[in-house]
Amino acid sequence: MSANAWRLDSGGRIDRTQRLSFRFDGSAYQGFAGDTLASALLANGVRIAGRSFKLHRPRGLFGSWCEEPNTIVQIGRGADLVPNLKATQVELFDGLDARSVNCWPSARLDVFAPLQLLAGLMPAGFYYKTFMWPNWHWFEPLVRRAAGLGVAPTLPDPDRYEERYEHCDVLVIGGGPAGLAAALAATRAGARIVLVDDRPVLGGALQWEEHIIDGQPALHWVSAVESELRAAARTRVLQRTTAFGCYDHNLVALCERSERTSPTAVRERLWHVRAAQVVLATGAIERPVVFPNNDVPGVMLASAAMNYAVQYAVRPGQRAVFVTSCDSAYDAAEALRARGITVVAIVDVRGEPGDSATSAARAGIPVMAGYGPARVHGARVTRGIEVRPLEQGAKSWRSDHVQRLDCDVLCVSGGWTPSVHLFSQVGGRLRYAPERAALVPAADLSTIRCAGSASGSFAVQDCLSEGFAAGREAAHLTGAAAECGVTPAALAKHAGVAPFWASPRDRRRKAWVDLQNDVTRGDLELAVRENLHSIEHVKRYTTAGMAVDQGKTSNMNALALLAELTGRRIPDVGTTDPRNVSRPARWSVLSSAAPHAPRPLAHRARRRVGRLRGLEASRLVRCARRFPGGARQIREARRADCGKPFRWFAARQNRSTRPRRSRFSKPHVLQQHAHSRRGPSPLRHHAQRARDHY
Amino acid sequence: MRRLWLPNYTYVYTMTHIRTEQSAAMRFSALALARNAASFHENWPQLWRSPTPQSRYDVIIVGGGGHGLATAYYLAKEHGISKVAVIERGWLGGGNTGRNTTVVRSNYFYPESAHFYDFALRLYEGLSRELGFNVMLSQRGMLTIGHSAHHLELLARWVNALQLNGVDGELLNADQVREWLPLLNNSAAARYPLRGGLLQRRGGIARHDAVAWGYARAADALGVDVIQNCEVLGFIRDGERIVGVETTQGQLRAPKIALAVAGHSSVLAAKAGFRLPVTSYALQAFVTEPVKPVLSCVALSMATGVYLSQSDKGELVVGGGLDLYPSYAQRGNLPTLQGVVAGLLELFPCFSRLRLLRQWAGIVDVVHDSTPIIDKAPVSGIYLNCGWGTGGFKAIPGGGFVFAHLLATDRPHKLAEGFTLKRFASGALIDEAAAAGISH
Amino acid sequence: MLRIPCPWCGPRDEPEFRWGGEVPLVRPGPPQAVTESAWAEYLFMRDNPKGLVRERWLHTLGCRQWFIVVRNTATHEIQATSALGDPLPEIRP
Repeated sequence: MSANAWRLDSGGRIDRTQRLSFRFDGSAYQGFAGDTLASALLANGVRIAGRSFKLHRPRGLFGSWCEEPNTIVQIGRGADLVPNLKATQVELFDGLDARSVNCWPSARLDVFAPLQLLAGLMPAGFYYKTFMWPNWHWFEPLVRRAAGLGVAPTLPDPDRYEERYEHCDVLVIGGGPAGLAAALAATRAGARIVLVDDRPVLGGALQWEEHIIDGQPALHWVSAVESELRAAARTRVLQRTTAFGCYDHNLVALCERSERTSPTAVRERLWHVRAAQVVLATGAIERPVVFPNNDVPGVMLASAAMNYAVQYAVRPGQRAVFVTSCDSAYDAAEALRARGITVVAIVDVRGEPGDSATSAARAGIPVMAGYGPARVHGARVTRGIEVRPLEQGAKSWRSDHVQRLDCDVLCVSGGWTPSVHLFSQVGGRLRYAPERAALVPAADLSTIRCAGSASGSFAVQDCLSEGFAAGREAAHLTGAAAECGVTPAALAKHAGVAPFWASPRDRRRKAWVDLQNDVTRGDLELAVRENLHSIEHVKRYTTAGMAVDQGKTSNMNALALLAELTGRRIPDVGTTDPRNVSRPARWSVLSSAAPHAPRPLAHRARRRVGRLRGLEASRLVRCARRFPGGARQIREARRADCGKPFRWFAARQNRSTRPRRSRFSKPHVLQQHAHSRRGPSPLRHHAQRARDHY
Repeated sequence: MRRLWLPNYTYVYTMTHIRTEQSAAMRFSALALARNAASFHENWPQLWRSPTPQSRYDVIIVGGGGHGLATAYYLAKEHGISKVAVIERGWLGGGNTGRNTTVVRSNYFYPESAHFYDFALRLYEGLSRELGFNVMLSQRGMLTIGHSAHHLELLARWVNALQLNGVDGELLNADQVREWLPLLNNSAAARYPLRGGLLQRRGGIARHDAVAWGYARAADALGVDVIQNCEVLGFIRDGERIVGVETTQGQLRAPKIALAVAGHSSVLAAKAGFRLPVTSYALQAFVTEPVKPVLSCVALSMATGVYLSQSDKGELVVGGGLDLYPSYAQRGNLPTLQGVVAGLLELFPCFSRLRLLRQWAGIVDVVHDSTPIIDKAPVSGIYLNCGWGTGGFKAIPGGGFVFAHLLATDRPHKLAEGFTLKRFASGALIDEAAAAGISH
Repeated sequence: MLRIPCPWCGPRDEPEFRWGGEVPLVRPGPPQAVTESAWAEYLFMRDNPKGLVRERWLHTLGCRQWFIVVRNTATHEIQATSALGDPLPEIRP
């Protein structure tokens, strides 16, 4: 297949003059600056980009950012290896070497694929019921080898990390419409603010949704706001920065990733931000719908399809079918159609979809109202979908009439789930809002408020006004009361949604709830049948929501299905106990300046190493790292170690593996000799030792 | 090499290997899985019932965690007392049983604790087959790493104590430790140089949820009522004596009420009108994203108190010190996380690119000597099982067994004679602060 | 991470402080008249409440002064602090 065959001829916010070469599973591909690994893979027609955790089912791209459950990759080799990244969050760079995880030799041809045939023997919690005879120890090594995603690096991390502290009046988390509006209001009010956004560019969904804000295209508004924020003296904008934890007394932990400018640049930076007020404008994540075979490559979130088409100019497929229960998918369908992709139909589970459907129909997109998805055709790639008319209320089929629609991409949208992880972590309560089919914050906390999609207001005009109000109020509470100007306004869009979690049950076919961990509707039913009714039990028994995507696309569906299966209302089921962190964070960035880390003496010594490259400096490094207390401690330790050898201990050892006695009697002297034999540079010596060893 | 010591308690070990009588439908096996696969898994029975509470029981156990459920199971099985209710405020195994780092070991120092924890470990060794529920006990070895001459001295003393108490334990030199932990920081510049270690081969990990569920299922099969979503609001008194509990599901009466509520012991004790030598702290645990096997045993560093293991799913499970002030908030904290991670990366620098996936905390009931309390409470009618601190999970079968004995016979089990409340007045403390492994 | 308002230095982060136990804690006396159980009560027995509690903290990495904090152990909210020697702050439910 020719390079970038799935790339649209024009459009997108990629730099077509800058071609980047990369490898995936050993094959060479090309992408453009501005791509993510995911968009570049899609542009090159890579449909099977990962394998599922348990059954090794083929999987394709499903989301376009942190919600991605399927395409987990590891990049780099040797000391540069980073496991378990979501391809959707890896910014493409020249020479990127990515491999899919948990499959061999590649995601496309996985020798473990036949495990799918045993799916019947591996329902939820099967390991609790077997492997007991003769002993778990016989099976454990196999199970362990089969489990796990990427491969952990075995060499020390050469990258640099940093830690910084920041205090501010208002911390705005999220750089979408609500976050930008909040930051704008707070900045104008005169507060000291920090705006945090985890994407490489500000704007959030405005990067791919088409809106008119204050009479201009949304992206113009975004850049105007960005320049105003950057020009403000008391405002700091942090991009590529994830707020991963919200802790006591308004401490928010951020992880800032650097661009790959140079190998020696600080790779990640941990920020401790203590804010007087926090505005959570973390947005919402689109929710899939549970129906048979909904895991085949080619099934993706409607918002992701739109994102790929608009922002990256990548065709997610040639013929698209939309399955939806909300209005936002109509915008996605229109966006795809405008880019030359055939939209076969929009299957809306709602009987009366309203104005969006009327305008879609007017634009020539067939709308099948009151139909639901019965199954996806295709094994390694989507070939079509069967739809059937639904009863009012969408709980059962109305007739046996099945209609097949041929397509190669199936865009699903079951509504939106507000990203309220940070809010829940600090004890914020949620309530179920049936008209929005979502769990939304019940009430703001005294210092933490949610705005925009994060609080369940999915329409862009509401995001802007809520965000602006939240920013203004937060700033006012901290004493910054200057005039904020006019609230930005957008041309109103529909954001209607009806609760629809799953198609009516089909006992013979699996319908996936959690894609990464291979949790199906049948698994949830099994858990309920075995009298596990608490959401926590169901989560632990089926492992729904426990994968590295932290259940961003699966938790709400699992909860709603559990409510249905146990005959309870969603609020009565409740949610699982919120646990930090909201996004995975590297160990290294967490330890950069922590109590056990090397102290300044070591840093000073290492700086000197650069100049001296001699034995003296290396000893200083070694001593300094081991004895943070300084010279006195070193002298004392030497006296203790060398003055009184622990021969009696050596004598106690197993004789065959008895260590050299001198190692115990005079460790420093011995190591020094070993060192001088190997060469003068302590750092090279260090690396050499590591290589020898591993 | 296994060195097993047969103490005077041999009889209890043999007793527990009698299988629970279960109907064929209940018994789990590969065959049962295959049979049920044919019927799309639609015929599995319930793991346990959801009984409506009766008004009277012989024993009411407050706390549906590992200890409470194990106590109920052994009461029914060993003592024939099955008119027992286990009442749980939330969901089974939702407290510390579902929040620990799943380590099991018995390398304690003093005879009382060493015998007791080793007994618990022996019960663990037969637990999957006994309960008919795979608790995935993985005896992959527990390796305590020493970093200095002083540590080696301590380890040597510790191994001597272990061997005197009949618990397996071996000293390893640095090369042997390296064989076990090839990824351990081996450089000359290591802040915590590797000097040696103590290995308990029978130590390892078990699947924490499975332990709670396995006991619940087996206890339920023996007629115990396991009642969830049933919070204790207060105690019912008859003069000086406590004769029942007031709960969100009504009044339940029993002559004996057992408290097995770990971090919340003081709260219930206050409701019953007495105080305990317990302080509740948050103990945190962290897991990374799953990776292919990189760590073969459980490793604990003596210098930092950081310990880690790799779960069967591939996640690295890491624990460290307590948050150093009392807390009932079951959530993680940043400074402790940073300290633990820094300690971990000093030991295993190559893990620095792994990513933290979840962080949580359990509320542990710390007593001054890190030794449990299994005794009658100062108020008659109440029995106590608390004070496990950071080590409750590894003790679950043993704690349940001896607590059931106390409840059934009103006399402490031989293995738990030292675990009294009186020791705080008499001074007969069993100070296991060091062997408990975590800095309290 | 807690932010504790030290009465002498103002609000500082948790790692600067050390927790020092519940108050009030009255030492029984005279020593020869104290029973074993009274000693045990003083040395070991604690209220350890879930909710508001008055406790002593030391600003180790600051002014090195002991002071009193009223803190909620369930939510970690800090209700009040006061210097040692001042009357013990009341717990406001």
